[in-house]
Amino acid sequence: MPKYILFLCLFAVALVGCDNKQPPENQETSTQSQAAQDQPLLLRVGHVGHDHHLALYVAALQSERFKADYDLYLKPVKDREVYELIEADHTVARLQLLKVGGGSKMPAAMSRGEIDIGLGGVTAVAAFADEGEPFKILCPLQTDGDMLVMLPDSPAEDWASFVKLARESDKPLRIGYKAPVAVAKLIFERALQAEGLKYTLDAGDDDIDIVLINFGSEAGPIPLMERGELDGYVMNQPGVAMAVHKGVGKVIAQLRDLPPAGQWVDHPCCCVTATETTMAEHHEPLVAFLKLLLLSTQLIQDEPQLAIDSAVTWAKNPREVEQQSIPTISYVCEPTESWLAGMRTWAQMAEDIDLFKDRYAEVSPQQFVDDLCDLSIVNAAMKDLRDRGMLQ
Amino acid sequence: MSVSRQASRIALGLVIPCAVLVVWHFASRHSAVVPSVASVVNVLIHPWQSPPTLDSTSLASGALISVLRVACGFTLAAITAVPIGLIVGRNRTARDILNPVIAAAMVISPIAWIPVAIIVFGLSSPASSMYGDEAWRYGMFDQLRYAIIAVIWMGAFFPIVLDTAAGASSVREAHLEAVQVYGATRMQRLRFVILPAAAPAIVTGLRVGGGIAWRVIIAAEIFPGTRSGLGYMITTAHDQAAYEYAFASIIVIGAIGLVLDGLLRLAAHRVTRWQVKERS
Amino acid sequence: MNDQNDMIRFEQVDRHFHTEARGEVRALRRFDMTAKRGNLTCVLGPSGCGKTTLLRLAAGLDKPDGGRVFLNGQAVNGPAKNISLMSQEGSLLPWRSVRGNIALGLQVQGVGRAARRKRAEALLQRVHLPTNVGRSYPHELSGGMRRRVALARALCTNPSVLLMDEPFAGVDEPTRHQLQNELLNVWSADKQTILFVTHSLEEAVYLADRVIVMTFARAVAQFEIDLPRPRNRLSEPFVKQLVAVREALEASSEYNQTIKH
Repeated sequence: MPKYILFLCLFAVALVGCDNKQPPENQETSTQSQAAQDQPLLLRVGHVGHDHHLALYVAALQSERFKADYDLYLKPVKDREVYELIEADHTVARLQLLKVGGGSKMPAAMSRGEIDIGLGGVTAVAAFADEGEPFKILCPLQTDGDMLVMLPDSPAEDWASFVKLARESDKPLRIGYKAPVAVAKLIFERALQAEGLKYTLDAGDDDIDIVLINFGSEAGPIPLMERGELDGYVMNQPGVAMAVHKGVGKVIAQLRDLPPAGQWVDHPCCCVTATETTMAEHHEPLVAFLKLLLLSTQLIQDEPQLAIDSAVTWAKNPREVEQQSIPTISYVCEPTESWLAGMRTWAQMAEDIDLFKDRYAEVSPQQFVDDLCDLSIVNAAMKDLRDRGMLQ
Repeated sequence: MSVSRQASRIALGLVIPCAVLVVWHFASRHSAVVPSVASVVNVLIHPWQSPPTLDSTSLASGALISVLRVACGFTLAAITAVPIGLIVGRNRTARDILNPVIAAAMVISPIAWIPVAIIVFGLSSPASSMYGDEAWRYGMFDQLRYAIIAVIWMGAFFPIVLDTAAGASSVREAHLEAVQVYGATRMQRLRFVILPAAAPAIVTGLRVGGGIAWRVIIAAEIFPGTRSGLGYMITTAHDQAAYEYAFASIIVIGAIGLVLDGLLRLAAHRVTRWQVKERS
Repeated sequence: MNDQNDMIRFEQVDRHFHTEARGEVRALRRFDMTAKRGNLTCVLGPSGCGKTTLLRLAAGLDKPDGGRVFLNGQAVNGPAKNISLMSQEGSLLPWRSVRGNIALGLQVQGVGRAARRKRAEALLQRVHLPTNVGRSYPHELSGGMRRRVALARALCTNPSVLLMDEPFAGVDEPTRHQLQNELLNVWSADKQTILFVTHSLEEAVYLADRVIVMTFARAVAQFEIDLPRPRNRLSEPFVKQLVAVREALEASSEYNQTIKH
């Protein structure tokens, strides 16, 4: 009989779970009421777990150093999951780090009210904001890191020889990409257009130089490369370094260097996003959080070895992978003019492929950036750090 | 069974696994992607070790959480599907109402419900229901995400309903009358006749449902906010090109599946003993 | 009309069913019948003539579309406590042990485990089955033993009315005779009112105080069997009685039709 009671209890718990889902505003109310009871405010931070989000992981792993140098640090409560954000001996908030996955998974989790702050790609955030989600990009996390990889025995050694190979090859080159709207694919397509190369997404077409093949996931290209079913692929780190580490590919170009020359420098990749509600209700904790990321990014720039060690510890990729990956990623948390220009260029590409259907369908790239990015919090964070001489 | 017969049976059972091992060994020697047998064995013999090259909990704790998730989803499926199956099997109106829904839902792969489950349940778990923002303190209890359990439930529910309904509808009138003549109540008819008569069919449904539940868990563990489970381990191992963990997880999944099926088979044997003998 | 000696009485009972295969089927048509208290009454008729419906109505498992059924002077309105039904062979529950089957009625009535066990064992002896059979399952027994178990189950609640639906059909003749004698032994000791349905003329004449012949949903003839017990199947009076019943039956065109059919 106790078995049945246990089953019924579980069932009842499940039903309670159904009712537990509340709209975001209610969740805010619940977190506020807890804060009122001297419980630290809980902010749930969605992330992916790979080295694009290294700024967060370095801060989490270098707790003692941040405490000593900046008096702003993450105190571990539960390793890799829960940390207290402490500034000047005051617990600003408790951060719960949730690995929500890449692509659209982060903004989707945010739209369901599961996370308050999200670390993830610009493309997916913009697509959700276009559909009316009240999301704002607060600052960049990193740029670049997209590469063109070819089979180790390919005659192509750089972009010029790749173009030559594509033109002269009897068969079209088969180049893989991760997702239809991945930045790497969009840049690569424009570079092909700039070179006058003919490409297609449909393997049935004749008289073309390149066939683009969707391989669908982070590690998708590695088995396909080993089997010789791809001649190469374009992708972000650390997927590129993994293929090199496994010996199935070689990097022949960084996409930031592809034609038209200079257009892809500092092209945006991951950013920090929050909902307008979180921004309005938790301004100070967000400033403190961005100060932490700014300092952490500075540390990554200043100490590459520390960055690699932290990436190996957190993302658990082989050291060789991170040694190759991290130097090719530009970690930047300040919204530089170069990043903003990259955002406008990206908006233009998005418009070219009709990515936007609603809010951003009819706006200029500048209007898009002005609307999607709210830099007030990161500016406040930067000002405070600069005033105190902590940020170069 | 004689000792020599048993030995030859075991030997025959090992033929294909051994052949796979040999092919695997040679394949790994010529591949950067296929992990060596030794590397996979190394993962398997250190099941509690936190993977040094994978963002995941240990293999053993992953297996444990997967088993717990399946146990919860499957148990929920059993305690919801058996009563509904009995009602469908015994009541014409209920059958007319539910049959089209069951027939339609039956052909949808449980994996297709993953987005729906995420929308409905999000990251909520038994721990979040009880402890709200403090849910993270409750480890495995928090990892029993409702969304994952709901997808497992979807997978196991329909086969159990269908088989239970088939069993309940085939109860012989003579058996029912045997208790009705003594003035048996509805519950007594259920207890003394319908349930035991339908038991073999219910057990078949539970076996099929259990198998599906175990298969579905692998796909269901790609849910956001999860950092554990065999399914999560396989997906992450694929993303991080750490294929030895994917291979080890597959072997563990197979082994647990074998044990699970063995247990259900044993339970089935107990419940259906009379039926097997009656047929023979 | 009311006679205190009438234990079971059918008055102008109608019962029909709708089946997908055969459409409207009339199982009983203005059916009249009585079974006297303490008597053994046989209903004789071919398959499908409505005999089983008759028993189900008497047991309170079914309701008539017209007319009334009385049990001990009271209109039947559901299963009564003092009734037992012994159905055709398949009604033993195959998932229950012999003991569990025998004590089924007591369990439904809420009797405790120890008392059920004691009663089941006493009944095993009464129907001449060894006690260790109690742990067996029905499929492990011979056809004759299964009938004995079914009889023991029917007797378990000490019923004053025993309804028997072709209980000995499908067993070989010597076993059948044995079972008939055992039934008569039980009956002569307890004097239940027995309504016994059969399609065997010889069985009916051997067992019954009264034989009611049914064809096409109606009682077409009735015979009082006035032979002393134990009856000898080879004796002249028995054979004469058998012949008389048969001749009377054959005079009934309806019966002939059924036989040819």
